[in-house]
Amino acid sequence: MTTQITGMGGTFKKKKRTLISLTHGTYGHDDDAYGAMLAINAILAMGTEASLLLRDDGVYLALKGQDPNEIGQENNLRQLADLVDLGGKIFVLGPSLEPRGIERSELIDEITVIERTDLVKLLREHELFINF
Amino acid sequence: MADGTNNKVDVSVDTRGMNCPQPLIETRKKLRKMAPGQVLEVQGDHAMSRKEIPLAMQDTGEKVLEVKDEANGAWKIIIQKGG
Repeated sequence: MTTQITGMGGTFKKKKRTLISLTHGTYGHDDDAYGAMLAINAILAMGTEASLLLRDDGVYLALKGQDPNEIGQENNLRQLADLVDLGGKIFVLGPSLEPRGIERSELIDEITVIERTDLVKLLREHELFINF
Repeated sequence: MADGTNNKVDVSVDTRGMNCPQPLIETRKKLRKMAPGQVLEVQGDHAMSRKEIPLAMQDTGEKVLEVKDEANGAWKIIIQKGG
């Protein structure tokens, strides 16, 4: 994401390190999980640093071996792989896992599990916060 | 490998059939693995991406050597990775 600054001879852009948070379930919520992935990958591809924070039902996005073919949805693991290839980071809020019966070993390797106390540090490392 | 102009192409990516922002994502993924000075050829046919990719390259120091329109709305963009 950028802030536009008008200067001599044109418009300059100051990029803002962006944190995208996903709190909704993975499939059947195209305007949430799918939208969040499209947004963060586009931001990264534009050359801006960005991270994804999965919390509440958003943690389902990082499950290994998910296969939504039977419900005719695109597999979000492909987009997560793109995110990693683009240099993005994925954080999962640990306290969101246990109530949903999810173990760390069931999630993709590329994530970092954080605790609630890490949230402030994560927010301070980013200048723009978007919640899906 | 040459691209039909005078640019020596080191890496190619074909994004034909993809919609925005996937052509830009595929372009950036390739560029991240390339060395400074190497040349990337991007093929595509999504009209918005033809404008979006050169804009994104300006912001990150890559050099757009050529944007070439082809038949049926297809295009090629030649990019040199920045240092």
